[in-house]
Amino acid sequence: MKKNTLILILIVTAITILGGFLRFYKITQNPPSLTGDEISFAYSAYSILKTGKDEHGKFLPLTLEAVGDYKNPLPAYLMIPSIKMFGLTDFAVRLPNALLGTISIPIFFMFLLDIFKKKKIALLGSFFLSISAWHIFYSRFAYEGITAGLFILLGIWFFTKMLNGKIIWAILSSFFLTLTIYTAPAPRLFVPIFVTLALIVNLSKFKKNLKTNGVFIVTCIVLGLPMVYTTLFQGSGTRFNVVFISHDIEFSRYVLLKYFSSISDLPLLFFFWIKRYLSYFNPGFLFFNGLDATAPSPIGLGILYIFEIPLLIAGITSFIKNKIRFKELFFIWIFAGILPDSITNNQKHTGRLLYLFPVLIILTALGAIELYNLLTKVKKTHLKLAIASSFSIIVFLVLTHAFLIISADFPRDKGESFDEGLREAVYYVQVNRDKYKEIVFDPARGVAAPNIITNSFLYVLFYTKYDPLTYQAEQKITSMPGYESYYKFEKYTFRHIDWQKDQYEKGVLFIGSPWSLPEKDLKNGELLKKIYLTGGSVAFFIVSPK
Amino acid sequence: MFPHYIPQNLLFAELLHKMVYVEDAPYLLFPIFNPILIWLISKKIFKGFLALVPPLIFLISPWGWYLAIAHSFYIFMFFLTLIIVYTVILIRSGSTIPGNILLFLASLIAIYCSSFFLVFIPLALIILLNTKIISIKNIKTAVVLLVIFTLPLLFIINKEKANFKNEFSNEVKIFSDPSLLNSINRYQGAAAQIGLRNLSRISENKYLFFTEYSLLKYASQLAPETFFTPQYKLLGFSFSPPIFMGFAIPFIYGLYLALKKPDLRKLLFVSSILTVPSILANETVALNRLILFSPVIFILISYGLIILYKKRKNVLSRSFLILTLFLVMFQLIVTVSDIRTREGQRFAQYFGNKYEINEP
Repeated sequence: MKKNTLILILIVTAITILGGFLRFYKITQNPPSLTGDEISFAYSAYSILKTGKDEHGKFLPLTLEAVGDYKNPLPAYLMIPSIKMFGLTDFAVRLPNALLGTISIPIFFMFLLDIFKKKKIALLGSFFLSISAWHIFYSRFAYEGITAGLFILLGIWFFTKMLNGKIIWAILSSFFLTLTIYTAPAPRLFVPIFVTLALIVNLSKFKKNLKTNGVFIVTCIVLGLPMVYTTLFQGSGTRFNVVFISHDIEFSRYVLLKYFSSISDLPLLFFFWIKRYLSYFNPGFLFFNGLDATAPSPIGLGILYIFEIPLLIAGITSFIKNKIRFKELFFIWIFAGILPDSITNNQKHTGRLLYLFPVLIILTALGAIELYNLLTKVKKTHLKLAIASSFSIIVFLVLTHAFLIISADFPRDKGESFDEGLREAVYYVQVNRDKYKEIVFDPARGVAAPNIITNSFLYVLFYTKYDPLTYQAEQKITSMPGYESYYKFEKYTFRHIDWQKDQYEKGVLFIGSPWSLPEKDLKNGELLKKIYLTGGSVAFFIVSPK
Repeated sequence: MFPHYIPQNLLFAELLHKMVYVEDAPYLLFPIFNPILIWLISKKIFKGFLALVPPLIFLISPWGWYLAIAHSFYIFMFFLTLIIVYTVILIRSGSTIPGNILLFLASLIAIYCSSFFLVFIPLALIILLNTKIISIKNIKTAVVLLVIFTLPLLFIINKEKANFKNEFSNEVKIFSDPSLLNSINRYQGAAAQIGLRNLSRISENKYLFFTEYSLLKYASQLAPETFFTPQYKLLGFSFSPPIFMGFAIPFIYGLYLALKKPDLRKLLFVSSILTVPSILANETVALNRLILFSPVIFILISYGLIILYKKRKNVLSRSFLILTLFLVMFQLIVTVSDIRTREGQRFAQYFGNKYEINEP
């Protein structure tokens, strides 16, 4: 092995280790709790591992029925080996994503080396990815966008290689691109648009390699058909109907001034969508606070760091003016990539844009090289030194701020969004369950307002390692007169607590927020435990009437 | 009945404890004078009938109309700014005497009307001189006259310091929002909880945050969504965009062409000083103040549009041209219909039936 290659491998390994450290360090403590989605995927994975069926009794499902939603199956299947190895633990749930997030770094390096044939760009790009707050943030919990991002990177990389004619790349590209539609909702729209446009702009190459491209298309169709089937006939499509932009609250309330109901409302919807689409280029979202990792603040964390502003501008200029292989694919990647999230009724979400990381990081890496070249042209050494040291200080300050946000502010401000407190509540229940005839969880929680959380039962299933076979088979009660939301299995009940009535229910353990269990109404000895959020507010009271 | 801004007392009147509102002026004259001035400016850039493109785009854009109808103070300041920009072009092209007279008059009126312009005009002149866009030799007369005739105002300001300070803080509100200071305190508090207070003091202090916030505001003024979508609402409630979205296509093309030329790049950078009044507002973007910068956008759109028209034999250029025209016509129809059917109700939803609103 040549000395240069060895050095390159060592540098990439060092960058990957740094990226891995940032993704794995204290992974079970920050984010402070497993989210409802993580718990849902994890218990489905556990159930499939133990019984071959999900918790609803479906054998190797292609779509996972969750609370009011249908989830993509791949994140759950990816958790199975991890849960087999490490048991039903927080670490096992988060391991696959952190691992895939880390693996993305050397793969991205190889991708860049292959496309640009320049070590500098490949090294810089992989370094930017390893320290990207955006990528680190979502790698630290089981968020499907990381997996989708990696698979799309691989799919597009192999697609570029396929254009030269080898069938193996066609199969690999179609495999990874199709796999993403089983991973996250956004790629279901992005992948078909990308493939169609990419084939159109490469029509001449497509015609030259008809056999290879035919294999690509047929493989895509064959692998994608099950998802088309589940979307049309097994409920996966409900998500699209629910989240489509026409249901957007801002649109109904402030633009249309009524609910979207007819074709005559389409022109306003179109312009509302354009507004949404262009807002993805908002500097605040991109550089200052898009990540939503803290309580609302104009200065937080964005998709890119603030010091990357000049790099991105220079990178765009360099990208436009220089000859770059597959330039048109990068254009399609970024502009079609925004589309899926822009047509939903939710606020812009940095997680749903994760598969765009390669394009944005390529631009910043190109920009860094462009600016470095400019700096080398500065003749006065002291000026060169002043610019370099000022920029280094800015980078240091910005990275320190990012570190503080992720390690201090995020767990403090976002504990509630991560359902913090339920783990501790279930641990208490597990130790004391035999003392009570019934255990009641209230779905209302929240510091500012009582929000309804209907997936508490999944935390019970997960942290008590509830036997999936028993859960699949046993009788569950899903409604009860007088209750808006009611769910019961074994001795666990999930319903609203009305303390005026429930205070006389002896032998029952109640877990609820101060909204349902006002501290002033509790008698001496009734309050058994207080569970706090990292931010210091009370999440739950555990109470039993005397 | 149309919504209108609460009138703003002019600086000199405020200091003399009188009431003089520019809002009493016949406001619909400004949408006529302003496009004429834009045309005069664009005549120096585009040849023949092509010079009509920027004022035409201005005239069909909702931006100027909404602000004129609401009697925005900044429509008047826009009028003065256009005169100043025109005089700079006049002076550069050799018409020094009329240029100096107009520059002096427009600047003096602006300074006497707004405390912010008292600071802004000298700052703008310094930048123009430093970047060698004009030389001190050519504006000597205007500067001397301006200094002499500003002295009485400075004298009154000296007597009415508190009043002036109050007036100035009404116009410069960028750091008056307590949420920024609150977030610094919150960040430092969170870091202190895990024993990293000192690290937080280095990277999360008010100097850094104010710099970052100013950068955020500057960048927000220049984002395409600001001009071509109702992201920042006209008069705080409307769904009409400042400029029709279809014009974003020639704008991006015009910007791309302009950035390729070093001279134009410099001019564009210097012209972004016109975003300062909006940067200093309380809101992220204050469209009433940002209108001062709008001629730059109209000229860039026109530049892109004209080049696309010249290259119309090329299929791609023709397609973009057709797409631009189609989108503009389509949005014009949709916007007119939306104004007739929903804008009244929308206004009531935001502000109730009170038609007087605060000018940001």
